[in-house]
Amino acid sequence: MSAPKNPSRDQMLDENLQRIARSISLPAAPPPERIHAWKNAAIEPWTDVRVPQKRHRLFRLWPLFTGAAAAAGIVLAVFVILASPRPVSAETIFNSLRAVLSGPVSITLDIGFEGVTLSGRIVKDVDASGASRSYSEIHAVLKSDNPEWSDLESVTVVNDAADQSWMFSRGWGGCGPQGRGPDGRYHVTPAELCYIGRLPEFVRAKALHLDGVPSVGFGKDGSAVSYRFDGPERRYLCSLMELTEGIANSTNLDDLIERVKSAACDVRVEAAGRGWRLRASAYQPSALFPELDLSLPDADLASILDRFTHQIEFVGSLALEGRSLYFQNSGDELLQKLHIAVDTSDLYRLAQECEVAEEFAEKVRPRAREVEILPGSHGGTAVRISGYDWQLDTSARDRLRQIGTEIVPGIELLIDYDGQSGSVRWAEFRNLTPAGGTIRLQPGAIELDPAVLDPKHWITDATEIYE
Amino acid sequence: MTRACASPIMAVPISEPAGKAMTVEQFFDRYAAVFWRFFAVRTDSDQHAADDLMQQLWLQARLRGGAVRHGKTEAWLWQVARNLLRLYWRKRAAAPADLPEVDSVLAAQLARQLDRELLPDELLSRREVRDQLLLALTELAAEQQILLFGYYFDGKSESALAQELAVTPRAVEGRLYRARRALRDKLAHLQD
Repeated sequence: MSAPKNPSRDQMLDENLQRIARSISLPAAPPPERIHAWKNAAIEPWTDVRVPQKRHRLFRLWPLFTGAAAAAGIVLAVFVILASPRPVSAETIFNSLRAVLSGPVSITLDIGFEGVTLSGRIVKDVDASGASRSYSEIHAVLKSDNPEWSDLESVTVVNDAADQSWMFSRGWGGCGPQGRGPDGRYHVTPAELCYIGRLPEFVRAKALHLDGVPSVGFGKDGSAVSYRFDGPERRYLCSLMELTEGIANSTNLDDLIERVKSAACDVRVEAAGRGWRLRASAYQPSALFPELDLSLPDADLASILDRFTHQIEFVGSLALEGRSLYFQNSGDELLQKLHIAVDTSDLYRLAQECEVAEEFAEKVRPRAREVEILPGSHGGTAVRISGYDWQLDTSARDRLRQIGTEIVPGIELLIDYDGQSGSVRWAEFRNLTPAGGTIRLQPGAIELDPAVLDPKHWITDATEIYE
Repeated sequence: MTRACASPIMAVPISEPAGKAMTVEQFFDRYAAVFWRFFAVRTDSDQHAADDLMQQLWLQARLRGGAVRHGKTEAWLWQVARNLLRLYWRKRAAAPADLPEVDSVLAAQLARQLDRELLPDELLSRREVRDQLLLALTELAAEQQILLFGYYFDGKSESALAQELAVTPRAVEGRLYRARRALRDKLAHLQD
């Protein structure tokens, strides 16, 4: 998938090869009947031909080693096994997680989004009788977009025990008076809620949804401020709260594990030393699972990536626009890496606004070098876009560069609309560099987090990195 | 050395990395011309010698190919081919004087020139230069050889090659680019 770094050099190679072809005569290729004859004229094998073996011959000498050498080998092997990271299955990780969650647990959270910071802790205690109680305290600090105003902090504390449970929530919904604080900045006093006793499910659910603070704005003496708490962050906070609920209840442990599994996809995870690691990603942003490496089974990848079959790694950035998919091919081809960054806030919104492909095409046209409407594959309409100006801002570009992504144009995007429903059936990304290559994302074609398959995730840029 | 075949050759399955199980027969059929050319260049186009070597290669593949690990079929066959060639010349005590020989200095010089300047006709007319190019070309991976020989020597179009290899023309374009670079790299590190 590689654009020639220096096209003129490749051109020179091409021309020289043409000259070489003209000046060199090759041995003529054998006709098919000769190949047939080789196979059917049975012969004696040459006796001393060396055939590469699966194991080195020195393995045969193993029984001759002295006892001391063998013992040293065993010690070394044990050391290597213990010291070196080795791949473990996702199932192993989740079993470990299951074991951890069935005992006392303390989890510290510190997660930064662009406009919101989540922090806090979840504690589960198990007493001698086996009874458990949980306590969680989760803060969501909504950052102010005006330095004259303080950040808005909401907190939800849940104490869940057999004898008494209570919940305290501040900033879940309505807000109280506004005024200047001791630091001279305006601040908002969030409303508070406190429930004592066994918490009815509906109360808990209302607290979890945090409906009141998706985006709030205030004004005072001509000064205005707004706080944003976007859907993904809100949903993530809800999932943390759900985890709080489930963590102390051993009867729900399997459900809890299932939820964690579904959030983490079907993954292959590498062990770290003697332990295991889970790593954060944009979709499962998690200090909760601090080292989760997401990847797909090879078989699934093969269906969409053709030759780029080996590994897909989700290089997550907590910032929404910094999501990347990372592909690495398995063969001996020169391409080592292809980064594709996906943007959730650009074409998605545009596509959502458009009821038909033609309308979408017209809206995209001012920012694209070429937009073409084609017959779709299912009686619908497809839109082909090339040379789209993704208008990444500086911070997005910096983020991409931080994860090793060089921003270059060269992706053609083909979106296929269904003829009946008008929904996007699949999106295909074509590399326009001479090496070519096509990646098609289609719901159901790969087992990935559905959010990744959602057509809202469009490719913005691609790059190639030689190693 | 040869005798009548007592029983039909059985196809032995070999697993390929792409998940498709290819039999030895399929693999051999697909790359037979590549291996034959490898032998022919290194036996000074002695057709009978190349035939003998191909028969031995087939025999080794049939006898031992089943134990080859996943995705290693081609590398394994190349190694067997090199060993067979070595054995062939050892049995003959001495190789002919005009057999192509690796000249790593000359090959490295060609590699440097290849993508920087047009190779002059006088240079290409030299036997030792042609030898280095042929040796390097026939050492490339089988698919790269099919692409380079097909495109440059047989004059096939990218679409024809795409059809032959069951890939898109754009993929052929990319693989040709990589094959050209592979040739240059092979020349730069050509060794006996």
